[in-house]
Amino acid sequence: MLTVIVRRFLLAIPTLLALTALLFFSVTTILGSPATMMLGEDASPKAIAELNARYGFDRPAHVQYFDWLGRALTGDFGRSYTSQDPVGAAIAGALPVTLELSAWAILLAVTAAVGLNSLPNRPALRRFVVLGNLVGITMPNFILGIGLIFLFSVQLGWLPTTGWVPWSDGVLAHLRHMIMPVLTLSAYYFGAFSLVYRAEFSDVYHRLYIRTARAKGLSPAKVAYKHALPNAILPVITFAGLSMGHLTGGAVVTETVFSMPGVGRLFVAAIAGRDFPIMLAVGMVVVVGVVVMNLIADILYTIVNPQIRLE
Amino acid sequence: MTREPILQVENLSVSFTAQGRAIPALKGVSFDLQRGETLAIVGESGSGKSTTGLAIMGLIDRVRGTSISGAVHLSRKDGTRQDIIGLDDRALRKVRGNDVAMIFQEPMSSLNPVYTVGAQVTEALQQHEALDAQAARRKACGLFAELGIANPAECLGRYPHQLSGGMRQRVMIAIALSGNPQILIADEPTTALDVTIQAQILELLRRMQQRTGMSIIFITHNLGVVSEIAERAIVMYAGEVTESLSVASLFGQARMPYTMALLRSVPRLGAVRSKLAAIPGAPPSVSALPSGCAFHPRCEYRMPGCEAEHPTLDIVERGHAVRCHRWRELTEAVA
Amino acid sequence: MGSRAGIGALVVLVACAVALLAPVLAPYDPTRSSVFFLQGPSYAHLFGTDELGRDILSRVIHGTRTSLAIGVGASLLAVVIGAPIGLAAGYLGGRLDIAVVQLIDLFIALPGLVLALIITVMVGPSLHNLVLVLGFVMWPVVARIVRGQTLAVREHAYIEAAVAAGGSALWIIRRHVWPNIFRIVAAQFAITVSFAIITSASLSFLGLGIPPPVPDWGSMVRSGFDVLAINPALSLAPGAAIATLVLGFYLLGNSGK
Repeated sequence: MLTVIVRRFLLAIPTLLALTALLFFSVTTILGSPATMMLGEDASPKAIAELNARYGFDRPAHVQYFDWLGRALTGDFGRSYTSQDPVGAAIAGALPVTLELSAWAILLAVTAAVGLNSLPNRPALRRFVVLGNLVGITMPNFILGIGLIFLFSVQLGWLPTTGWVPWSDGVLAHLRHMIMPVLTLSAYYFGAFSLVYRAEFSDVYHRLYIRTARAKGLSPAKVAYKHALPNAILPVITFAGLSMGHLTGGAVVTETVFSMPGVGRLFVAAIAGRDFPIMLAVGMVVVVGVVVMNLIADILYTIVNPQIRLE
Repeated sequence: MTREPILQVENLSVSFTAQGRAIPALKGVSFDLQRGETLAIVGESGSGKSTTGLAIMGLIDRVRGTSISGAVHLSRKDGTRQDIIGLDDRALRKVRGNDVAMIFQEPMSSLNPVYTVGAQVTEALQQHEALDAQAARRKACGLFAELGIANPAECLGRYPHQLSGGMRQRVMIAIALSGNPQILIADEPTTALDVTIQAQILELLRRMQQRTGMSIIFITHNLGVVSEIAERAIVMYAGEVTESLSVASLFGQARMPYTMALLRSVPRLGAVRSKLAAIPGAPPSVSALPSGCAFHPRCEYRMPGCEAEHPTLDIVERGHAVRCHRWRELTEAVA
Repeated sequence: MGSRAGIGALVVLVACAVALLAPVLAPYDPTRSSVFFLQGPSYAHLFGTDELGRDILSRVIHGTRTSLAIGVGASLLAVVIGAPIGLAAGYLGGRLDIAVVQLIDLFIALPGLVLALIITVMVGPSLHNLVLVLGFVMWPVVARIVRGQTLAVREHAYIEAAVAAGGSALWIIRRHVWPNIFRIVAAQFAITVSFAIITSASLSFLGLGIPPPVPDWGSMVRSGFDVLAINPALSLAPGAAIATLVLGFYLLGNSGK
């Protein structure tokens, strides 16, 4: 098993390099020089030339890429155009917030999707869950978020509207601020995971080893949760990994709605301020996040499935 | 025998619904099973033999479109005698594995791939007996040894995909025997195994039966196996019992043309024959049964009356019943 | 199951009708501002007015046009690009298929919204650009589904091709493959529209929507968010419209599968 993990890990590195290069070159190709974007349409050519020189945008693309890469590996992502603060520090501060939000959301989505869809023969519950899935998949999450804020903060006053409180300021306060963002973010994944899981579960439930389990005299709950679930959950694990990868780019919309100081909101602010160094750095974080999360999901899948684990 | 049969199946009928049509899988099946006896249920695929086994285990789900009627009287270990058909799922769970156990044809697909075989056996043991984990492991190990598994302790930690077909079937038998059942239903347990392993498994079942005194219902399409393991046999065709007789009578005094045709198609070493005598035609699909006798389109002895009227089960002599219009005339002995 | 298709079709038809008849249906000119800003719902203004005194109901009605234009436009592009690629990969197989699958997997691994964000920032938001960007981001999903269906159908197609010996690949595809995958392509089109509307609304919400004064649901939600306590209708009315239209297309597409 260790060899499988090491092999996957080594494979990830060239993928990472290829993707970051791809991103870098696409950006420079489409934009030409970021300077125009940063300064606006009617900037003077002199201002543009100055910016180009200062940031090195006038060098050939591959030179820029390797220079950036070299510095990125030491943690230097340059400085924000708007604030002159080091980008690396800004991202380092924002990443834990995003990761925590994403982790809670995915965990909630998996638990709900798997837990609620493993009960055979409960038509009333099934109808309710299917409705929930539909709402989850189709409801745009900023609308859901705003709706929740309107209901629970503005009308009922039970929860704080927006903002984020670090753990150090109190566990309860921190959690109260997290409830609505986590619910908002997990809604879509609850729907998507449910669809995948339900299909797999009904397939698994007709397998012969389920018949053996029932022939032992086990209760329906034990048959469903102990025998069917571990087999049916495998595709959900892969999907969850893919989703976590998506979310490392920041749950952009959710973080904006709830003013959470994560990578997503950092990115949106960078867009508003036309801050190229931050935008590029966030793009890279997304790429790294996707590759890493997929790797983790791969490894997890290998561990859980004995047929692969014991090759 | 004056004792009551441990299992009495009375007029068991099962019907499923597929695409709006009713499919009668079993029609009025009746038979008895004595204590310690091995009964073979013989038939081609689609005859209803597996459905019979599943019905006795209570594994046919009562969903919309499925109807089960008749009675299956079982003498339970606690002394009561109950009709399985009338029990709800909670009560049936106490029967499964405990009074009646079942092993299936495909040992690979019948074992959960994500758990060790040891875990799956100890789970069965702990379901039927109050054992802690260690005691259950010891018992599982003992069962494995008894069933001829080499290195039983090591085998407990293996996964199904790491074992051979014969080993997996022994694990299935171990699981089935965990609850000390009085009746073991074996649904084609050796069909997917090669011949040498087949003989070992049959020997194993015989040995277990001798030790525990349990009854066995052996479901198969292979008459050769029937002669090795069973004392009585019932032959099923298109969801009905067409003949029931002792195995001793089977190879000389079969009266039903279908049974005779089955016997002729058994390949035998040393017999002078140019090719296997396969039965012409194919078993009918239960949703489109021929009128009258279900076997008549393929029967070499058919007469006009066979299509017109459905034959009832007649008694030939004690312990031998047959469902055919012409059995009195057909005393053909099979060489 | 039939009711799903029915509801979906109804919603889509109503939306199309509203979009077509917007100037007739809307009680006011959606771009006309007034001094009565942020008024709550009243007899004169069913949903109240926005921060520039414009009638919200009229803006929601006119916003249907924008949403449908972007949604349908981007999806058409995605299907026009994705379906042929998926079909070619599925039917021809070999190295082309391997390359296409890797490309598709690459796109699907990246978060679509972030990708759309980055590109839209670089090229600037306009109706034209949004359609292009969204179509570019969504074609891989269409391609994947079409490829899968093509693979399933290909087996049958080969058998018939043996009978009709001499038919070129293109002929076989047109006669035998296409009729079988057409339904899936149409269903996927509807589902793609629903995701296009969500994504474009999200982009608008983040400030990258069509520039004012064109009425745009996402931008309205954004403006309304700041004044949620004063006039929630500014956010909730367009929000409900987005959710309903997305649901409608999704149900329609799902029932066709």
